[in-house]
Parts: sequence; C-alpha cells; structure tokens
Amino acid sequence: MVDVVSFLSSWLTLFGIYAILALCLDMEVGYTGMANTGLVSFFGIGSFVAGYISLTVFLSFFGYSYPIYSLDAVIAIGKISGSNPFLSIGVFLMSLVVAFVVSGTVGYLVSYPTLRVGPAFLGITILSFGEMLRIFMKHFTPTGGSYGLLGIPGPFGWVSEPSVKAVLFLALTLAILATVYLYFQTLSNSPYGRMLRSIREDEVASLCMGKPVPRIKAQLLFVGSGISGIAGSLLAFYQGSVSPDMFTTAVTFEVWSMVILGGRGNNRGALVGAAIISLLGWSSSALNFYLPGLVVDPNYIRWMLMGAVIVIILLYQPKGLVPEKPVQTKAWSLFETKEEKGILRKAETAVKRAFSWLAGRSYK
Amino acid sequence: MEIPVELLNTIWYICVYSLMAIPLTLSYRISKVLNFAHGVYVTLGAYTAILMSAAFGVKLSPFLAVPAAFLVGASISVLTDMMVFSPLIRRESNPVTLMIASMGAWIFIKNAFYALVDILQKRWMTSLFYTSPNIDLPAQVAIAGVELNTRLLFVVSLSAISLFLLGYFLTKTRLGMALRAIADNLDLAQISGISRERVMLITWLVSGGLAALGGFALSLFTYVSPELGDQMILQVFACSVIGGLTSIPLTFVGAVIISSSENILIVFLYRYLGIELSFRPFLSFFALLSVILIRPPAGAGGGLPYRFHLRGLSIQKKSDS
Amino acid sequence: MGAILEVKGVKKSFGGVEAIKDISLEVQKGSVTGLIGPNGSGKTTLFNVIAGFYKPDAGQVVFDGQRIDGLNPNEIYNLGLARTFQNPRLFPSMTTLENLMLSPKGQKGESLLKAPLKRLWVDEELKHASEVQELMSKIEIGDLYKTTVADLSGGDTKMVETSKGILGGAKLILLDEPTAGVQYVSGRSVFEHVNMLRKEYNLTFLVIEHRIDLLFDFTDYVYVLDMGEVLSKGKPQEVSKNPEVIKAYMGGA
Repeated sequence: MVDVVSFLSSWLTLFGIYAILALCLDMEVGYTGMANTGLVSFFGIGSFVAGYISLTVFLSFFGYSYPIYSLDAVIAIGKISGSNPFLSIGVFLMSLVVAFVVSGTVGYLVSYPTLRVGPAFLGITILSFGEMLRIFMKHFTPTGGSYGLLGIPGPFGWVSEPSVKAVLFLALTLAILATVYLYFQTLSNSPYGRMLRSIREDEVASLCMGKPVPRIKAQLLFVGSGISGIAGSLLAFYQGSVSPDMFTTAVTFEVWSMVILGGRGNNRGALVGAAIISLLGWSSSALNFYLPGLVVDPNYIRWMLMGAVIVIILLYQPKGLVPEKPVQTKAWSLFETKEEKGILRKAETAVKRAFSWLAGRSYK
Repeated sequence: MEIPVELLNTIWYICVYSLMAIPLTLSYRISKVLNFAHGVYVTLGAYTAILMSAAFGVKLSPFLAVPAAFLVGASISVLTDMMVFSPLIRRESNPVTLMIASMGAWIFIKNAFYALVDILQKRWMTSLFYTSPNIDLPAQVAIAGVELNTRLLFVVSLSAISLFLLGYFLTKTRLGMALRAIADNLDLAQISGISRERVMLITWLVSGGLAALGGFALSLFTYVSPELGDQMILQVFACSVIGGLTSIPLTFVGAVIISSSENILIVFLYRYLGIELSFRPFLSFFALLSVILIRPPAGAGGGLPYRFHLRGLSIQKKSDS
Repeated sequence: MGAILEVKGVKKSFGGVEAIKDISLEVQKGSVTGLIGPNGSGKTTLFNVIAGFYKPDAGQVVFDGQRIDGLNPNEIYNLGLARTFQNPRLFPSMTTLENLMLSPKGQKGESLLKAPLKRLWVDEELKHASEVQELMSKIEIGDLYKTTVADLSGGDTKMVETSKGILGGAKLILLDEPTAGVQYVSGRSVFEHVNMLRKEYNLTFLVIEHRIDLLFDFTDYVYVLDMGEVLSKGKPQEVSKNPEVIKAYMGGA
C-alpha cells in the first residue's frame, strides 16, 4: 500500500524535523527560562542556507551559471540532481554544517541586546526580529524574493524509487533526531544542565552563586539556534523548496505548544509534545484533503486547539504532561541507598527480559 | 491649500496608533501582562461595524458603531482576563508564563474569529475577508468654509475625545487613581481597601474597548482583514516601548514618532535612497531596538542587575529595609 | 589577622535619594561583624554595593586586598565573597542536593563543551558531592538531600541559604537578617550554627541583624548605621550604651 507508506513517512519526517525544534526550544525555555519567541527565524535561516548552498554548488560544479532562483536553474537541477551520489551527500552534509554555524551565529548576536532586558521586551523583540527577517527575505532577490528557491537537490536525488527515497530520508531525519536527543540528554544530566535550571528558577540568585548568566544564555542560544538551523536544512531538502512565507510566527507557536504540552525541562516531554501536535497538524491536512468543503475549515480548528492547549496546560498542568526529573549526575550515587536502587533495578530487569524474549533468546 | 497626503496619513495613523498603543501600555502597567492578544481586540473592533452592517444590510450610523465596537472589545478583553490572566496571576505565575498564555489566547481567539467569518461569509454570500464597513457618513463636510474629509475629522474627534476621557478618568476619578496606585505599589493599594479584582476588570475593560475603537477607526480608511490587528502589532509595540511600557503621554509621543516615520520618513527614504515603501515596518523595528539598547525601560520586568543599567527595582523580589 | 573587607568612603544615591551618604568600615578576618541600624539606614544598600549589584558613586570596596567595586556579582562570588538574601533565594523546583551542588565554582562540568563528556567531570562531581554531604550533616539536614527546596521548612531553608556559598570557597559571607522570620527561641541556634561554620570552614561573617541579645553573644564587633552613615562602632556592649544609638533606634525603627 504505497499510500500508507507515503502518508506515514511524510508525517514521521515532519515529526522528526519539528521534534528537533521542540528539543531546542525546550532547552532554551524549559531548561533555561529564555522565552525564544523567534525560533522560526533560525529555522528559516537554516533552510535558506541549505537551499542556497546546495543549489550554488550543484550548478557551479556542472558549469552552469544561472542565478539559483531562475527557471533555467530549476530545469538544469532537474537534470543533474541525480547524477552524482557523492556530491549529493557531500553537499547535504556541508549545508548542515554551514546552516548550524550561520543560524547559531545569528542567534548569538540576537541574544546580545535582548537577554539583559526582561522577558516582556525579549518576547517582543525576538518576535519582531523574526517578522522583519521574513519581510526582508521577501525582497532579497539572490534567494528568490517571495518565491524563494525551488528544486533543491536532496541527498538521495540519485535514488530512483520515490518511496525508497522517502524512507531513506526519514531514516536520516530520525537518526539526526536521535543524535540531538542524546546530546541534549547528556547536557541536561550534567552540572551544565543543573546550572541552566538554576538560571530558569532565579537568574539573580544564580548570578550570585558565581554563574556568568548572560554568557551562558548566549552560548545556549548559539547551540539552540544552530540546531534549529539544522532542522531547517532538513526541511529544505525534504520539501525541495523554501520560501519566506513558510516561516511565519505560526511556526514558532506550533513548537511552543509542543513544548508546553509535553512538559518543560525534559527532553522526553518535548518529543511527546511534538508527536501529539504534529499529529494534529497532519490530521487537519488529511481532513482538508479528503473532506474538502466542511462547514469549518479544519485548519482553524487545529489552531484553536493549539491555542486552547497552551492556555489549558498553563492553567491546570503547568509542568506539562511529562514531569520533570532532577538532574541525574553521579552525585546521587553517594546518597542513594540499596533499597531505592532496587525498584529501578527490577524495572530494568523486566525491560531486558522483554527485549530478549522478542529477540528469541533467553535472559541470563 | 493642498494638504499633502503624507501629512493626512500621518494624522490618521497618530490617532489610530494612540488608540491602539495607549491601552496596551495601560494594561501592561497595571497587570504586568504583556498581552499578545491585544491585536485581536483591534480586529474585533474593526469587524463589529462590518458584521453589523452586513447582517442587517443597512448603512450604519457611526454613533451606533462606536459604542458597539467598544462593547465588543471590552467584553472579549474582560473574558480573556477572567478565564486566562486572573487565574494565572492568582497563582503567582511568572511574567513569561503570562506572556505565553496571552499568546495562546491570541491564537485561539483569532482562529475562532477566522472560522466565524468564514462561516458567515458562506452564509451571507458577501466578501468579508477584505472589506470595509458600510458607515453612514458623508464624504466631505464643510466647516468654516473649508472642505474637510469627514472620516478624518471623525477619527480625530473620536481619538481626542476618548483620550481626553481616559486622562480624566485616570487623574480625576477615584477609581482611576486607584488604577494608578495599584500599578505603582500593589501592597499599599490593597491595604487602602481597593479591590484588586475590580481594578483589573476595569483595566481590561478600558483597554480592550479603546483598542477596539482603534480598530474601528482603522476600518474607516483602510480595507480590513482578520489579520488587521496583527499587521500593526509591531508598530503598536514600538509606540508602547517608546513610552517605556509605563507612561501614557510618552506612548502618545511614540505614536507620533512611529506614525511620522511610516508616512513621512519612508517617503524621503524612498525618494532619495530608493528604499521600497513596503520596508515601513523596519523603521518601527529600528525604533524598538534603539529604545531597548539605549534606554531600556526601568524595572524592565526582570533582567539582571548589571553594572551598566542598574535599576534598584529589579533586584529584590520583596521590599527590603 | 587583618581586614578581609574594607569599605572606604562609599556613597550611593538613587535619583536624588541618598541611600548611602558616606560609609567606611572594616571587617576583620575570622570575625562575626554586625551591621545594625534602623530601617532605611542603608544596610541592605551597602550589601548590594559590596556584592556588586550597584557601583558606588564614590569610594572603594576592597576585598582581600583587591578592589571589587564595579565588578559583577558572579565575579565577586568567584573571588570568595558570598551574599545571602533576607528572603532566601534558592531554586525552588530543585532538590537540596542540587542547590548545594551549584556552589562550587569553576566546575568543569559546567562548560558547554565538556559537559557531554562525562569522564571529564565525574571525579570532580563526586568530590563535590562528598563535600556537600559533609556540610549537610554539619548543619543537620543530611537526610533532606532529596527534598525539593520548595518543600523545606523555613528554618532549614534559612540554613541552606546561609551555607550555600561555603562550598564555593567563600571566605566572607554577607548574612542578611538570618533570624528574620525565625521563631524567637530558635534565634540562638541560628547563630550557633553560624559560629560552628565559621570555625569549621575558616569563614568571616558580616551580619545584618536586629536582635541585640544575639549581637551581644555572637558578634565581635558592630557597626551602627543611621541615615546612610556610620553612627557608632565598637564592641556590642559599648555600642549599645551609646545614647545616640539608643535615640536612633527608638526614633527611627
């Protein structure tokens, strides 16, 4: 059933991309208390960087000199994007790295004026920055103005079967997601994560305990924005096109609702929130596709639900669905007694047993 | 004498921005909530007249449209407070939570309204997504022998009267002075027997109502869409930030500055530097950024007690000896 | 011995209000020095100046031979001067253990690059953890390591607030009204703990305190502030007999 595969892979790929964004936002807001209302800017920058680089490299490699946004370029790309697997993958990796650096740097620069004023001003300024960037990009001809860039050659352009291509890309996205998740997990369960939490709780008190708060915030925003840029690149390669109107503040809100729903300050919660909200988005698109002409456009319902979710969660379950756990570093080992470890050990054993049963082996 | 159109536009926008930004300053100052849903009140105000005239198919008298718009804006604002802000404030939520909650309310109300307009549009078979209200006002009126644009006159009078009434309310009435007292010192105000709930209610009522009037004024000279309030949100924020998010007179100054930059400055920039007119929002953004960098407002809702812009207010959470 | 902290001719005003007109004082190393005065005399402002929240309009603050006026609060902490707050500012949603584990400075695990590589900081972490364990048993809250700070009793919260700077290598701790909000009879035990910590960890304390009886028994030297100036100084017994001091307290407080 090709239909199911393509629908499933499209949902899961978008889930993967948005989950990366949710993880970044969670580290910024949930862990450190920085209200990043301009997430979409770094996401968008990453997308455009990826599009720009891959198109430019491909065209120049094959000796074309069309501007990347022109129709000739699109036609040319159509011919060459499948021809050199190494180039495709190489360009892909390079775009990811450059997107990380560019988005990260912009994030770092933006943090400078905004992180020393209160959250209200931070919120307004970053939000406005995002909008300004979008309007600017609409007039910026080297990247295609309001039409953006088309025909971006993906890393698997050389694969002939579209469904295989989709699955490969999905696997790649999920692999990147897993890496980001692991990275953030190790970061959180370390003195660094502890320090971030202290900044969220009371930045003045944290400052008084010797933590260089503005520097840490700027650093984290660099990393968070950079990784958001990577997510943006993935989107560009997945959709094959980017345009400024894809990056409105609505995207930021969607990711915010994921983080709020799933729970602040824990990475698993971000994944849960991303799964639920992206499912919501996907189902409203599906409804639109299969049942057009309903009384109310499902899209509106979807956004209403998101707004309601944000408010309801903040009112009744402000910590989100998945509760936050204390920072798990080795320090606990000094204090933990054997009994407490017992429960965890039993759970661990049960899970190991289940897995080995599935694998057809007996557990020793 | 031909009045340049840029000047006329500037005047329009000063009035409209004042009506939109001053209530934002007011609501932030008193409730400490940066209300992202503010733009929606503007949109709803603009659409009140449109929907009323479309529903009854008549030319609407402006003297009916104005109170109606005020009422709608005020009610939605109060409702939002009762359902979202007050419960959160009672739980002593931090400003970021309140801000995010206001965003949630914004998305919800905006999309609910979109859905409503969509449904109505299909039922009434008229275009509601890019339209104007049907208001009973002659195009021009002659005063002292000079031909004036009636709508401009109406908007200017509306703004002047509303702001005058607001000023009177805040400075001369007991309730108004209580509002200001609460903003400055919550504990003291509570001790002197002023009910906090009542003050908040009035604040949101006034703030939502005025914003709605701003929306109505806007609808008199430009086509409206459900995005209306949000299109202007940056400019409105900029006006309020120039007013330090606390001072109403300065917010008015902000309105003058932003409006002039959008209607006069941009024309110069276009003629001499070739900058396109659609780059208007950038001017407001730069104004916003400059204020934040050069003169960050005192007690800017948090922030660090850093050497180079220290204000005694933000350091200790409770008053100290 | 010698002075570990010297405040020389400090002035501080806020938009026309002179919070500190002219204050000079010295805190001897190893002492418990008291800072008293009626409300509004400038005590907390002085603390804020010393801790780096404000830059004095004039004058100097010298800590351990180094000028610290104009430095940021985090830099001052790292030099060994810890500031506590009258209303304890701990990190509510974190456990006691985590709160105290934040004190040590220069933790390798706190760097963005080193944190993911556990091997680089695990030993240091364990060492800090055992220090924390030792401290907690000294202030008798050993079994509260897992409790979220928000759930701690008032007295325990105060103890954590008081001692949170110690593991960061603090040499001088500014205590802001340690017995505020504590029941009268427990006041003594607060100061007994302070004394114990002073001996165990070789500390100096500068304390804002209102209770004269505790000042008598536990402080070595006292500065009396009034209206932003030093009104009187000396051993608590001498100072309390000073008629001007009595007048200031009766009239102002």
